[in-house]
Amino acid sequence: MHLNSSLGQLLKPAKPVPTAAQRPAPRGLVVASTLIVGLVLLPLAYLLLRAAAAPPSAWQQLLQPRTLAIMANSALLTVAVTASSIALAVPLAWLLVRSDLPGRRLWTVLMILPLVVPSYVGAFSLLAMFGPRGILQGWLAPLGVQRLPEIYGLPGAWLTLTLFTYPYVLLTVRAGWRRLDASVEEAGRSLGHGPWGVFRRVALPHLRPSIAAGGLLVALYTLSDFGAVSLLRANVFTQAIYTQYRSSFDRSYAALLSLVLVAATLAILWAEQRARGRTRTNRAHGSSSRPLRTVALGRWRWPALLLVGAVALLALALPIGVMLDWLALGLQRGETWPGLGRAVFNSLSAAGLAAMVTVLAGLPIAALAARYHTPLARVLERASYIGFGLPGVVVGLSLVYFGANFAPWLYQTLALLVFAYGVRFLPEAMGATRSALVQISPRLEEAARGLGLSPLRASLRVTLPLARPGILAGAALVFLTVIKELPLTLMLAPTGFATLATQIWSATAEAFYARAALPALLLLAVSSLSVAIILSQDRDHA
Amino acid sequence: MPDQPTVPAPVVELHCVVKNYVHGDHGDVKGLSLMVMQGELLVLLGPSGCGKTTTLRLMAGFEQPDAGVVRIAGRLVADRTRSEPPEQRGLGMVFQDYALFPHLTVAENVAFGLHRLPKRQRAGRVDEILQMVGLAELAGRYPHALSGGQQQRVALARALAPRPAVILFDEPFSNLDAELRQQMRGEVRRILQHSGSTAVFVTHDQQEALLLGDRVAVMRQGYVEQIDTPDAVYHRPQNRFVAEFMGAADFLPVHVTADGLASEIGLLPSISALPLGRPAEAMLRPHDLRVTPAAGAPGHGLISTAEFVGDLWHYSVRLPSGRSLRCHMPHTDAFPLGTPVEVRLDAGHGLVCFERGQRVS
Repeated sequence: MHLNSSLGQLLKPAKPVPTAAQRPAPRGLVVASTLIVGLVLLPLAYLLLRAAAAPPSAWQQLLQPRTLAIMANSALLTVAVTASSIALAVPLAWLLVRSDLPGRRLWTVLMILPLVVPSYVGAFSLLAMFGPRGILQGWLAPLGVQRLPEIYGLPGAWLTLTLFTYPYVLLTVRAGWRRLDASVEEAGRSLGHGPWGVFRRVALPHLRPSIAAGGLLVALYTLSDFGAVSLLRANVFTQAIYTQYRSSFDRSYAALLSLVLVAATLAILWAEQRARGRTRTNRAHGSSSRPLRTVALGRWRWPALLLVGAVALLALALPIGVMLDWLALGLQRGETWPGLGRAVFNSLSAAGLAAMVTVLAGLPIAALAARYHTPLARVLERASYIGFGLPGVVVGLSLVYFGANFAPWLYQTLALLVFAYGVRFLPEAMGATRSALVQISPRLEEAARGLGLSPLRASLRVTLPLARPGILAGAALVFLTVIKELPLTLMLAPTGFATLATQIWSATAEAFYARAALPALLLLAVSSLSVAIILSQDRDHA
Repeated sequence: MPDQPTVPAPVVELHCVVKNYVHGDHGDVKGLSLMVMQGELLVLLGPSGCGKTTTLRLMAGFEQPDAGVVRIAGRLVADRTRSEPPEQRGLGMVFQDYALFPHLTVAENVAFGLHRLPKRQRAGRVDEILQMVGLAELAGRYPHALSGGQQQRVALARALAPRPAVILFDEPFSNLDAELRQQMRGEVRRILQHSGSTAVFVTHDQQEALLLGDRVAVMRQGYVEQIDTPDAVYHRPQNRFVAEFMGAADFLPVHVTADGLASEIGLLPSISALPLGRPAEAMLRPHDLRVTPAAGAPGHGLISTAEFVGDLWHYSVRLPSGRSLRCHMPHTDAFPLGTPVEVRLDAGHGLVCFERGQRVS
């Protein structure tokens, strides 16, 4: 399982194991899975209830020009970021997989690494560089430059999100290239088509599902992103919902906006299914497949190096350089970081707790999905993916209402926050566990049963140890995602519970860049671990 | 082809071609010359790593030679300095895994190489070819919905459609099960002959080579050991390697006497090429020998293994020298292990002898 395939698997139900029979699933497993899926569906269900009870005025508000502008902005930003990510990632993937670009392994790591920069850290670095009171203005001020071009708004958000989400497309397209058999390309050449013709008529149709899958991840990320659009004040759904939640007592409008956002998410999922097309991969069997041939770039390697160099500069060197610069400045000014140790502790403990809870919650559903192919198992598995379609602000908003109205004893507790993380990130843990289980032949368990072990002991002594690497990878993925998570943490954390993410957010929002720099660097260091996980799994597969 | 030349002309010509891979010498070609004649089916046969696939890819233009030249229809297409890309060579190729385009239908796959044909002629050509391979009713299907044999036929149709000068087959039947393989071999040969095609096959299966080829080139470690008709490479192999590769054979030491070739199983018919007194080895294939129980007498040897395979008994006879001879007998001739037997040569063709591994007769 590497990230690309695991991302793909997270989004679509597992293919049945050919050997698994249509046995009825153990009742305990079904009950546990149903309960967990029920809990995961709670935020969406509550939101629907709220919307149903919304006054007519809230519905009217939904058709006002202000709302329509939000929709248009969101659509524009999503389309623009997705298109530019694809336009950037497809050539990059070709260079990294198919060409003899010097230093390909290093460039591959560097081109994937921007994935670890959370959008609000990216936005922070862009603001700290190009924003008012930023580094660039400091350089230009002696020259008499008073104002810089506006960084706030859609263009800034577009640039930030493109720079830090294009690696999703790069990963899927890179995997797509690797799945292409050399003989298929050679067949195209032997039938009289040149290299470009074969790319257009053979490789591109083959890559289409990979491009669609990567584009889907970028589009979902953009639509649900809260950090970058808020800091850069782009008037899109998530920012509008959060503003409504903060400023208005009537929360029906925010609930309706959230539902429109969920509908938009569903529309994107549907579009991706369409774009994936009828293509089926028809992989060669046997040992006949040859590795794809690399293309000699010749003199073109200089512009190619320029491209990867520019991307690395903007998406890696710039954020890190800016943070280091502001850190140095902060140290010079005698800046202190009150509560930083506490924030680190809070981040680690919340993420650790969330990883544990989420993996445990994912276990029964993963076992059900991997081993039993009953209709109920399929429904439960699909339903557990709902977190993917629910942006953080939506889950946050729903749980704030729910907590305030029905469960005041839960409201503003760590338990509710961890629950919210679980709803959002269950697919990550469940997907990793399930693909680990799918790879373990049920015959092994049967062999253990044949040697006299009870079903439970067979699972514990055979299946679990074999699945452990996959399960741990899922836990690590959840841990690292939670560390970076912003909107849920902002809306649901107990009063005074600051994390690295919330510290960066509040300091940046008030333009205290030096104060944001240290937590941002710490966060980046922790997140980089996730790329190590991605690449190590990638190698297993290569 | 209005004016077929009466003297066959080489369609593909390899002259002293060398190709060395960087990693080891698996698949290297070390100095190979051969010609593919107009209208013939040539088979490149050899064990894994002998360079047969490399030779095919050199013809197709997927590899560039380190030395030597490749000519197609008399035109120089590759040497050490330049290599015409595959799409300009006008050769068809059928891949081991068929390499069908999964996103295109059968008809679209077949039409893929027809882009130089005027648009309105394409559909007609696709129909014609699909008729020929018997797939007309599957034109709208996608490759994943076809059986292995059908995929194979699409691959053949796709390669045939642009009327290539030569069609190259890279182990085309190795992904089919035994029965289907048998059937497809015959069918492919029929289609190629029907369309008057020139073809080069690569295979490691000697039976397939004998069945398909007008000529067979037996390769080993980057060289051609022998290139000849199927009958000749089987019955008159150039050396012991070819002899053993083409089918089971035992080599019995003989020496030339005035009466014939003296051996452990008695006198064998003489051959003219050897002078008196010279030691040599006679090639004995299992079906050239007969065993009969040596009633009362010690015989030539004892039955040491006996395997019943249905239509035949496979025996091996242990001679006093410790050598064994393999012999196939009809299914009715059952002898228990340890039976003393006489071994008799009953070949129906001339005996072939080797001296230091090379054929002398």
